[in-house]
Amino acid sequence: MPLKAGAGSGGKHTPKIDVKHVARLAMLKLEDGEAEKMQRELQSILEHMEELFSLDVKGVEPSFGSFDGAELRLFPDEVRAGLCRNEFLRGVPAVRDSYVMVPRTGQEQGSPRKNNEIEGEWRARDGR
Amino acid sequence: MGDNALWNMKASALLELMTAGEVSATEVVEAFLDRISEVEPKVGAFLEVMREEGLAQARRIDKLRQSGEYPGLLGGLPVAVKDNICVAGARCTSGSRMLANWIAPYDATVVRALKEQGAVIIGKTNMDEFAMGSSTENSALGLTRNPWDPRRVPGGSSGGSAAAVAAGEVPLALGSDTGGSVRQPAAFTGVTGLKPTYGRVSRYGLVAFASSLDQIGPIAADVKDVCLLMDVISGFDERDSTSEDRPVPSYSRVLSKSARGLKAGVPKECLTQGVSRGVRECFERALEILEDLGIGIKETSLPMIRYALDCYYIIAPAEASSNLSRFDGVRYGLRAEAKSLEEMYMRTRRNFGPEVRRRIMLGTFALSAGYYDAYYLRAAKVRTLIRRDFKRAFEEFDILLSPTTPTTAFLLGERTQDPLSMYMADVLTVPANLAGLPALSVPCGFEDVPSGGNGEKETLRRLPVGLQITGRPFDEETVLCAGYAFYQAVAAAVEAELTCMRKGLGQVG
Repeated sequence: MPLKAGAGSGGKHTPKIDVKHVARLAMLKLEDGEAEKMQRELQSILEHMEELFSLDVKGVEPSFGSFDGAELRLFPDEVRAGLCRNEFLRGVPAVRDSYVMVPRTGQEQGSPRKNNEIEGEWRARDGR
Repeated sequence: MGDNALWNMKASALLELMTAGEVSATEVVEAFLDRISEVEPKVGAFLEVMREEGLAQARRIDKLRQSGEYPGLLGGLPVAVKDNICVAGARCTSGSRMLANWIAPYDATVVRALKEQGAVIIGKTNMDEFAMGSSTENSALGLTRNPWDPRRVPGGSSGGSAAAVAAGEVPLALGSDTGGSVRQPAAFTGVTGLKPTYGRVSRYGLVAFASSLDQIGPIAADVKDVCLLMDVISGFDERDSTSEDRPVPSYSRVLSKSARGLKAGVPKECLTQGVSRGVRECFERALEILEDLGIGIKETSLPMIRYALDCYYIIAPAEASSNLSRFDGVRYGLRAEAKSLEEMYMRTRRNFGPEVRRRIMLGTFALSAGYYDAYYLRAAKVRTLIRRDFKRAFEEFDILLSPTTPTTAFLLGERTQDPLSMYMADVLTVPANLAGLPALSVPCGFEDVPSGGNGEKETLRRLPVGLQITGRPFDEETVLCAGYAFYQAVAAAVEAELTCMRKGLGQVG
């Protein structure tokens, strides 16, 4: 059985995961204490996957989909009615006119304004 | 009320009554809504019950029938929809705080098909957050209990849909299955669930978890009702680029076919994967029944499936880490207040639950520079080997048989602290997803387990066991045909227990 809860296999092939680096790549912020727990859990999951390394996969084509010959289709390149923009925008957390708004990405002179101030201003202007 | 109550009837029987004019769609929907009010406090299958919309749709169906018009294949039947499938105008939470207030702006293709065929969408069901889990305990929005034993999990991730059907709250439900999320809860709650072939049912409008593995599938009390739903939701959809454009048979019609002469293989590896004694006994009895039905049974070997779980727990998190990157506060659902864009991403993504965070981390690691070849690419190659095993087996056999799960439903909280033991619940179901194959779980018996009382009166609890039937790609027909033949042989016993359990749920206390 590849995954056995509890017993670690020693981890000959398993690297030590740099959880802070991975969290950064994943845009996740680990709270105090969470990093150590995450490290332990991921490490033990990966150690139980050690058996995968005993398989010889040389020359084997990888499968990225579900079966041979399955092809992704493309839409014909033509204009057609899609989801109405306004319906989509209704689910967006912050909208101004028909734009999705996010906090300022560049720094201008002066102190940056709070997102909720800006949003409040838009709402007032849009009469919402 | 009891055996003859509308809520204890199957979809096919309800449809006959409505077609004959003996009951109205409104009466049917009211009966299920009342049942939901009665037992929902004990089960917790729903995140949202759509009472008014449901009754309005039922009245429309009744009007159609009265004026002699055809109300569709499902005319007036209530259907519950897993909360990761979009129903226009309804919240679609995926069991996550991230989408707790997000309203779907459109219908998923399967939901549109349901509506076109006269179904009454009666509610959205609870699930593990973003379908990641095997017990529904990872839902951020509610607790679902197994109707057979309230101290136990209903399975997952489609635990709400399966529990709702088992409890008689709804005759039909939709779930989604990435690694067993339809079949495993169906097995745990004594109902029938099908994961169709990858590409058979459109994924448009399904919140993506692992795009190369996800399929929407039906859950119902028996194979016949599963066929009824399959007839409605199957088929090509240009909105899903992985949907397959090939003819769809009438699944309900396959029920008149004989299963005699089918060849079935039993992969010996499946019985070594921590299968409990009770499950094994039920499975062995099921094999005897199938043999009596004229199905030839032979042991076989799929040597690579012992690697399936490892392979799955690299590929699924890798795809999930990519799919879930869209939940950053910009376009959907929740947004945390922040001064900078990056801080907004990070603070918004704090709202993922622990299992989702774990899988995003695992998947991000498997795709990261330096580890991609060793993990993700290796897993993708092992996936090829697993598919080859199945291909070889299907040269000799029409179907493959195994238990759906190694054990019956476990206790709430029993596995939440140990991710690996939770992952083990999927060991027999993930191979079909990796190979894209259709697989059915059908009730095949019960395991008696101690009720865990306080020592005074130790009684036994009956917990359902599922038989898994896997077939060739796009050969749902043979899978359903074998499943139907088998179920006929056990239906009386299974349904007597089901009715008894349902009655007990309705009692006060």
